[in-house]
Amino acid sequence: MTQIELRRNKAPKLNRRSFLAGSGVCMSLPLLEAMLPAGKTAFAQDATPGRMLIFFTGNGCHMQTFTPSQAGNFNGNFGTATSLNPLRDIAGDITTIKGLHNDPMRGETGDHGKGSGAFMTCAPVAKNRISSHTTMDVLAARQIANQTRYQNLHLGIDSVGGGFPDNGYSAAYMGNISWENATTPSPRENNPQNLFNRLFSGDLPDNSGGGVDATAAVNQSVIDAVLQDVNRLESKLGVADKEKLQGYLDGVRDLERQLSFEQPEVVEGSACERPNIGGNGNFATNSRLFNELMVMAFTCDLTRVISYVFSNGLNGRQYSNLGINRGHHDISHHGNNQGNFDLLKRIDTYHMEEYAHLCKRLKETIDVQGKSLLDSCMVLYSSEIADGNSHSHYDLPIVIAGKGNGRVRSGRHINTNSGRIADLFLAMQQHVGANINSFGNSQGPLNLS
Amino acid sequence: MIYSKVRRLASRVMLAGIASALGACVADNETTSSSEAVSNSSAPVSQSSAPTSSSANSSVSSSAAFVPPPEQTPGPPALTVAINAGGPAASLDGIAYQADAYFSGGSTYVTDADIAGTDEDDVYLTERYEDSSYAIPVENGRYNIRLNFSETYHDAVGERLFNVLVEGQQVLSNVDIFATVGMRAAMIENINNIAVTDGSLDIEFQSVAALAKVTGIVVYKVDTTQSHADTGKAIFDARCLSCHSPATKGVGTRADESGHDMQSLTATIEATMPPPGLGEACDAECSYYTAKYIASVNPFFERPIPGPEPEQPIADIAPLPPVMSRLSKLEYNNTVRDLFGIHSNPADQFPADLSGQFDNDNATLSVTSLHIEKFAEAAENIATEVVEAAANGNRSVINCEITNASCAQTVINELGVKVWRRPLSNEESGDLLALYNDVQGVTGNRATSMTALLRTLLFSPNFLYRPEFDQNLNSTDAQPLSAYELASRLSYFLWASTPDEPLLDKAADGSLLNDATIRSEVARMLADPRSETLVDSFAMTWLDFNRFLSHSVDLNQFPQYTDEVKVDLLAETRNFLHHIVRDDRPLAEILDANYTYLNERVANYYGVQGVSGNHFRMYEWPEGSQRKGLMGHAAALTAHSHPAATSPVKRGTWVMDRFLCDRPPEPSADVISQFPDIPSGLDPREISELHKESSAVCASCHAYVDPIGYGMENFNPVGLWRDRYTVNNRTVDSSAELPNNGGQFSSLTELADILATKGEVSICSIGYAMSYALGRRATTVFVPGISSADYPAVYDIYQKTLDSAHSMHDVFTEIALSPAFRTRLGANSGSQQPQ
Repeated sequence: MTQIELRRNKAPKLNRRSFLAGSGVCMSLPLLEAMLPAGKTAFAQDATPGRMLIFFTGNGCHMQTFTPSQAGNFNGNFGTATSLNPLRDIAGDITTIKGLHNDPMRGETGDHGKGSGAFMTCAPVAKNRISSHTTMDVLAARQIANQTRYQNLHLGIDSVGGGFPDNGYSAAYMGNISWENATTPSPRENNPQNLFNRLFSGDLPDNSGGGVDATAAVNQSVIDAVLQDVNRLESKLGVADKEKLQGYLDGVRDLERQLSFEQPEVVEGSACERPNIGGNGNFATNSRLFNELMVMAFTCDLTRVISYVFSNGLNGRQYSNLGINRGHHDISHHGNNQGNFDLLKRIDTYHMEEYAHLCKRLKETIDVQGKSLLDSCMVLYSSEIADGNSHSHYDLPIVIAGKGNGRVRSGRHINTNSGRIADLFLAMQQHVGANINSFGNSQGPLNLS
Repeated sequence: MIYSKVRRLASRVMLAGIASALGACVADNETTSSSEAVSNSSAPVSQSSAPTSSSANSSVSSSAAFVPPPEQTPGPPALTVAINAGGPAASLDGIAYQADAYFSGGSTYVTDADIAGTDEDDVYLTERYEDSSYAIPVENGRYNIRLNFSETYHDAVGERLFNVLVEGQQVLSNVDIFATVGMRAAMIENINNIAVTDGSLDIEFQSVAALAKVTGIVVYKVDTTQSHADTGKAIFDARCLSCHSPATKGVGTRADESGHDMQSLTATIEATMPPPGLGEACDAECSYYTAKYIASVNPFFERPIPGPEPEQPIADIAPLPPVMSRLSKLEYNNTVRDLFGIHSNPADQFPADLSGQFDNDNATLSVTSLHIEKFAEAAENIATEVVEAAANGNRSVINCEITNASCAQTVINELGVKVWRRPLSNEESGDLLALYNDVQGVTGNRATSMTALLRTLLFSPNFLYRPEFDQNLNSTDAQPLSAYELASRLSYFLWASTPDEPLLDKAADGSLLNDATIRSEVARMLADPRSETLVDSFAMTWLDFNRFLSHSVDLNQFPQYTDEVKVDLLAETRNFLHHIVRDDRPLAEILDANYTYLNERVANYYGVQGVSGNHFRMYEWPEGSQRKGLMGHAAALTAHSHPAATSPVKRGTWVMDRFLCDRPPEPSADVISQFPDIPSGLDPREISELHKESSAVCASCHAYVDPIGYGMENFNPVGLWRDRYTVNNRTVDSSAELPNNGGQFSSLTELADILATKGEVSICSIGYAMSYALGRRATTVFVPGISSADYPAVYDIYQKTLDSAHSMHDVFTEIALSPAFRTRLGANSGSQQPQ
């Protein structure tokens, strides 16, 4: 039986102690003018960081009012695509695409589970057991992990569905569009307050009594000690258990790396200030809270890759805020019923309002170079399927906000005949600075210029 | 007590019942090879070899007589020809080799040497070398080939390499005789089951490095006579496998074959397979052969169920090695509560656990960077709290003065074994003490050093995971768990928490490995309030009430379904299941209890008089009541309805999934495309019927799901009684018949009685308990050779708990005693747990 070696992250050897002891400049952070000490130009090495965000909603869209009817510039008007109207104010930053497919998700059944689980893998997932692939956000984030305190964030409003499979496809696929490896979905923060605490409150508390240096030394001693435990365990475990222990080891290495970054230096009155979070609410409230937190995470350069699940595939959420008391999934199986179409249009429009709110907040935020933060972003809106009744994985709903540092010529609708969403993902990965040349069934980065 | 614990279970009648046929998948292969497979056995012979059984208790009967031919068992392969390549006639291993023949190309060579591995060297000393080929005239058929080789020339690895092709297909690649057996030694290669269709068996030897060679060729003809089981397998593979694949339903289903003899199994297949719309009916002949195949692979065939202890113990229950578990959020909270008296539930801050069937599913309890952040933070907070308490004189956790240097060793010795649930090795103890001293050196602060020590214990994988160590990682034999590992399995099964001191003491002296101790410990633990967790973590999860509060109804239509009512309806169900679990009730009572738990609000909701106050108390339904068992709970009826309409499909699916372990799949895209348009004004039963009429494929599932749902139709979307549908004023009809003569009923109470007597309901329920106990999905499907491990184990527990009618505590105890719980195969034995 082959013995496997645990892989150890090759994290750069940062001098934690000098970081923690040092005061003043936080090298990972200074993106915004207000935060920069006079005369410092912290951007020399990374002048225009790229950022990406995936805004995912489950159960597809009513495509007839979602996709513009013809290619070309919007000229401030989405025509028949009335569900996009909430984006009208920022139409110049918006790109819509028709004709992107996610072919590997095709198959006989289980479209929601499989479709969600394989949405960002662009490769088939296994039936009757959990076996997916590392998703495009995690792959990209790993390549640029050393740039920010958090490699990437995975957020969602709903909790992740456990329990029983969607026609053989594990329920794990349903809510988890982001995967660390074949068997481990990225854990999702679904409580805005917890996310806030994580991003904006302190490190491991200092109880050393010996100041910052001593705290760092104690932390390191504890980490070294548990790594010894890992080594001892490793020698006694079978292959599968070693694989499982790998998650622990990677996590501890990541923690070491995080501790090498200082907490964001929050300056009241500057762009990177502590967001005002009022705890948890219903999904409508939480949607706005998450929008604020995502904007701040980019603003304070805590991460450059975020995947966000506004609603899970197969979700039966009742949009009571819209006066709709039937579940979304039920309605999405519309049976070509006009009443259902009307409900779906209202739901799609609401989704767009929330997406538009996020994008407008990004647009309002001006970075040190005097540009809108949205210019550095590619914010993708999509779903695991197109039409909810037929479960198609072709012609997926695609909206991109942001100019991707010039990569995206926005303000228009693009009609590709048979493109692959993997190519769009590849373009997004390259946009954030990941050195990735192929992904899933990609053929090359989608040209959006 | 309302019930006598011992219940009469139904006889084997229709164990096949509902669960068996369920052909909900779409037939993707038509009856391709089946007719061919059967055709060669068509001559009827008067002498019948079909088993005759006295217990033709099955309610289905064969329509057309089929008399199977006498069964012929295939003989061994017969020697056809043997050739001494490059030499004269010779003898080897009792086989007469003829002189070299049928060859073309190549050269001959003879040497003299003593060949190791045989006393008859002649064949090995003559050879045909270089590229050569043989074309041996044979009858068409299937052949096995044996090739003799020896290396008498080259003396190093890789010097002579060659390929062998048979009938144009490469069967051996880069043969290196020296590398395999060394120089001057006999080597044999067997190539089996080669089809010859052109009257000539063609064998080629192709040089890769230096020159190819061969010394002898032996050809055997394979007897292709099929046993009846073989014929059945061909039918099964062609016609049944698309639904009954190893990953789905398996061969047959659940308890079915246990209750069957040949006659009843054949009759059941003929009457039920394939389900309507999934291909041509399986006639008497087809059914006979298929039954022969199932009988040949399922060791439980013909075992009576229910019945006495099996005559032979089930020996080979393969205890699959579980994937190492980590503490779930609940387990973490309980563990620190029981270790340190900390009730703040620190794991509530951890990311949501991904759960499988249950929240303790070890395969889904993974660890990521976010977990590590949270674990580190929790360890820090807990350690700080414990050390502060100790500094303030609280000795309940740290039983020494933390300002004393010696306190560290005391903590390592006394607390270490509790936190890691096993004694620490000397090396581990030494390293922990070194850590303490290092931190003391840096900070000069004993409290900080003690905190670092506790942080390490709590942040260590030894605490966060529950590793089990194999004596032999590769062992394919069951190895007993250590007493400490067993202690942890027991405590996390029954308490979702860490072993307490009595349990650790019995692990320390090894007595926990005895059956009697396990029994007494399980009894002690079930009496302990900590076993309350079984109500929520096991029963409420199994029966799908975890998400109940997030289910909404149409309040315009049902204003009486207030938030207070909703909460109390859930409480009714929890009180009921609490009684079943904690008071050791029979499993099937969940379905047919003639009592529930009411408080004033729920009583008013149901229209029951004379219950006052907020507290819940047992309430016996009077004779002739409309409700019975869990299916009659408003919470269950509501949870499996649409917000404004009932759904026989949702309700039927729930029962099939949770009580029969047979969840019908979601309709495929292909089936969805056949959905009929639904005119308005139809009630749910009419809509379901419309589905069935519109397409045979739809009917194939709905025939099994809908009848159960129909039985619950007299209860509206919020679980209240109705005589008529609001939508069309039609009288509600709750009568239906379970498929395959599974029983007729006209009300929910009659349906409950029918289901409660079905053996497969108990088997399925035990399977769920087993899944929870093991932290992985236990399969209750029988599949030959693959993941069949759980079926015998579950069946065994079923048998052993017959006397108590499978009372909950009896089931828990037998699970704890079962090999699946107490032993494991080596982690690297190649067995994988089902997921």
